[in-house]
Amino acid sequence: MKEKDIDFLILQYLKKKGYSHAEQVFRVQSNLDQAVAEELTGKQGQSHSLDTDAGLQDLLFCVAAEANPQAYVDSFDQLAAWADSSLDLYRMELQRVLYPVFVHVYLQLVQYGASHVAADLLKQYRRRLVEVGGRQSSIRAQELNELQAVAVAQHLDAHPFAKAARSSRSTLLLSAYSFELLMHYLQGRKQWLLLSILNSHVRFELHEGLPLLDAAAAGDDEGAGLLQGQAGHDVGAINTTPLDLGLLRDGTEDAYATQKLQEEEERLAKQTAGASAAAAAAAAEDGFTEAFGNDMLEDGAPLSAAAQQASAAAKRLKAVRDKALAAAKAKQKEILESRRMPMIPLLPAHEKLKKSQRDDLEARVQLHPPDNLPSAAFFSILNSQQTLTSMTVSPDTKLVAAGFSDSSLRLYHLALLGKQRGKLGERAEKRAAGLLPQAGAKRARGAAHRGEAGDGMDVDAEEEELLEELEDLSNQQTMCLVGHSGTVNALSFSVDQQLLFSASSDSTVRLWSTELRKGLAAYRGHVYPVWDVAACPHGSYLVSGGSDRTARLWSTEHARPLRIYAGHQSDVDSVAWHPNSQYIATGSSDRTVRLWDVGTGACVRLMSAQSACPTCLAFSPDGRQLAAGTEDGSVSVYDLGSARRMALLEGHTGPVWSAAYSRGSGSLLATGGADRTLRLFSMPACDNILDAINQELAAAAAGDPAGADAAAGGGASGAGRASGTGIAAGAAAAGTRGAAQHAGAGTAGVGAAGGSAAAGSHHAGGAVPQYQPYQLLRTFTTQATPVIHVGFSPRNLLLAGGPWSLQPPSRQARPGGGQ
Amino acid sequence: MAANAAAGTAPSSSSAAGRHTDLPSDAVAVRNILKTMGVEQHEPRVVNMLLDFVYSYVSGVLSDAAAYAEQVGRPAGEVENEDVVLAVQTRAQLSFVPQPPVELVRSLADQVNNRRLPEFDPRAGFGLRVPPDEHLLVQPNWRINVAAHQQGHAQRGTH
Repeated sequence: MKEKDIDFLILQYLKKKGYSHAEQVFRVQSNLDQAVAEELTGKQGQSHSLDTDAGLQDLLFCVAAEANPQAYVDSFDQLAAWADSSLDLYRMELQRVLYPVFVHVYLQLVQYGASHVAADLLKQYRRRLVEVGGRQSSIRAQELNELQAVAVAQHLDAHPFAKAARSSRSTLLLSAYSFELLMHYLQGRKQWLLLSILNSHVRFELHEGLPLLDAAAAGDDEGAGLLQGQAGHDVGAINTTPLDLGLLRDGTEDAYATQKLQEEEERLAKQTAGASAAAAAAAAEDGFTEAFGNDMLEDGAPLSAAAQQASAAAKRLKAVRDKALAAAKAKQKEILESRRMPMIPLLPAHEKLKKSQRDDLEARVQLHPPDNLPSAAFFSILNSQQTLTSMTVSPDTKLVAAGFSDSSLRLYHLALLGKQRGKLGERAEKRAAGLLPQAGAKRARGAAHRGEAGDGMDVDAEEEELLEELEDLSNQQTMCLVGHSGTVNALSFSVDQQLLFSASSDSTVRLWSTELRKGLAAYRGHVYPVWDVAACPHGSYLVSGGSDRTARLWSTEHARPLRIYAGHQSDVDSVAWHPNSQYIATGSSDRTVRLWDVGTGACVRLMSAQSACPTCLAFSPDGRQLAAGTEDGSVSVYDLGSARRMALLEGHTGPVWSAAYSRGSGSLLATGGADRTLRLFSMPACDNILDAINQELAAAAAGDPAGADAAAGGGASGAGRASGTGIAAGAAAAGTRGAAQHAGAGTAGVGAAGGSAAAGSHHAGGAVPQYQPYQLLRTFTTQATPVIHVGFSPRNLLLAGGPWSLQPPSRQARPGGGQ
Repeated sequence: MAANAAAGTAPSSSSAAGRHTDLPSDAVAVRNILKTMGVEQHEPRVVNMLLDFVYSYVSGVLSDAAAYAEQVGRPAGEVENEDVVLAVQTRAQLSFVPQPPVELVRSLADQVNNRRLPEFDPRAGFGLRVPPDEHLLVQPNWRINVAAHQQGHAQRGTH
């Protein structure tokens, strides 16, 4: 270390402290040449090379810099200029270094009290920093906005972003040569301030080879923000944990499929027996005629030929059917082998539930992307534009539950609602047709009768009866459940729809009984608002996620949580159960989606959701894929085994509030969002045991006209039930006021009914037409109602709901006022 | 609409740009804060709500600070920086409770996750599985205080 440098620094220190006397003495005694001293004072803030320990270095840097925040600004300007002027090959990588350095320079300036200098710097560089890979990065824009709010040194401890930035290390991926270039520059130009920042706040990951030119390839999209790479070093370890994603053994669908296969086997055996009996009878006749002789030969010949043909045909059919049956059995075995045992205690389902599930399976419509689209019912809740926060439909589609921001829940009994409307509608019709006397006339007569001044408040006896009935029924059609003391954020029915779970901002999760219409229990554990709750597909568990960054597993029998899933950096916004009930997915505001093992509580997958927070999650029916809808309208589909993103579905222009896969083969994904649309996307079909068996049998039946009729009959009976449920759904939709506006959904219903009739012919056709996955198939827009809930019933009826809203103000401002 | 909302207050003497001339300076300040925080559109009532919050928060802090100052022995009405800082810190612990630190949550989670998942009690059969009676909401949470009642009887004397 040059003595002159040390002297200079001491001189600066004395000057800064105002020890003029000591400064003069020092100057004299150290024999500092005046010219040299002036030259050195000219280079403000630039310290010279120091070989001594880092502590002394840092102290001197601080001293040097504190006097002059401009030093930071100059250093940064020079770095930016240098990065811009470097060779094209390295420029992109070097420019990526600027963002973390900028953030920390800003924070240092704020710490030293030079907040206007910091603000000027921000203004100067903002536009340039927000651009990443040629387009605006929303994370960076957000972070820069937050940075702008940090203006005083006290904010550094209080502001979450500032605190996180100063306490963590961000990761930068650079090629080895770019790193060398950077170090040469910084050390050569003696930019100690920037070096100290890089030392303490940035971690470099070097990779061999050429610098990455493509911003996307360099992971810039995901890592554009400052705080992205915090869990970077253990993501790799997390994402290679072995997973067992198969469905559970002894499921209702498997049992149903086995039963169906057995029935098919018996039926085919009978048919072949019948055919061979017919052939034998024909042969017997033939033998009879032959025995009787030649005069019947002309008639006998075609008979024998026919008999021969019949027996040959019978043999062919038998061969084909046996092959089909064998193929179906092989497929069933293959699928059943992928089933697994549960690792957590689960209750076996009771018979009533199993029976209703079997009925649903029998009536389930098979949905197939280009033409077989579902029937849909949309429930609009009136007078709830500012207050409706959550909605869900029970598995048997008899109840709709809605949660409001005034902390109440309402249960709507759909069948009763429809019936009541029918009665009122009838009376209204009759009155309009003049069959009933006008209400006013009757009241006047009644008043005259009683000799009172007719103030119009008397109602005649008949109407009174009807009103009483209405009051009674209205207690059952719409039940208001009160118990929470904060907004109800999420609702979930249990599988046997006896229980309803609700999550609220008052930090409790409550259990309600749907039959008793009463609140039974409150689960307290989150001390912060609970954002989402989900009921286990196999039993008495529920999972809730809240603002305390954890998700908790509860059993309905215990008041304390059984498992706590901690690991997210920010609120847990959504939770979902895997179809085999052994894994849970959580989406959080830290822009990641995690998969947890229910029993052990360990995180087994960590997937980043690009630049937006995931708002809803949906598992595919076979449990291998997970769809996550985000705040910026994109839906990411992840493959859980490899933790990679399979597809990014664009389409929505606002946050996606709800997503659901269709049942069975999961070939459709329905999403609803704040942009007031309901969209259908095609997905790759999953392995579904029923569909596989049906396909095999139908393919075989293609060669056999009798079999084709049977298969078409089977398909058509499914279609018949489908159109039955379609009509029922239409009636339910008509029962709510919003149906008139959702004509789109109505026509979809009609189209689907026609489509499902075509399904039968498809099966008879044998080959399943291929379709392109991950495509946007349909968009249904409502006038102004955001879609907050989307789901498929067990019979593949598409259900959606939202708060009915008026048209947005921009459209209302038209002078003509046309509506 | 903002003008109507602020109609009751005295108009600001400062001449701000166009539509701000009839807003009090506090409201203008709040509007500017919203702008710097990146809020592009907001309903006019937001300004009123924020002003309400600012008033209640500041008055609460100042009254706390006055209490602390009095405790220290300063003459009534004088409040020093330190008092205000102390008042702000106390309030922050009570009203704006931060999320628990990551390490604490993780250690809690490790404790909870180590216990085995309980088996289901077969006695409940297929009925509703609900928490034990003391946690159930349908149980009465009151009882008649029998001892006092009997005492009352004894005092009045039974005939």
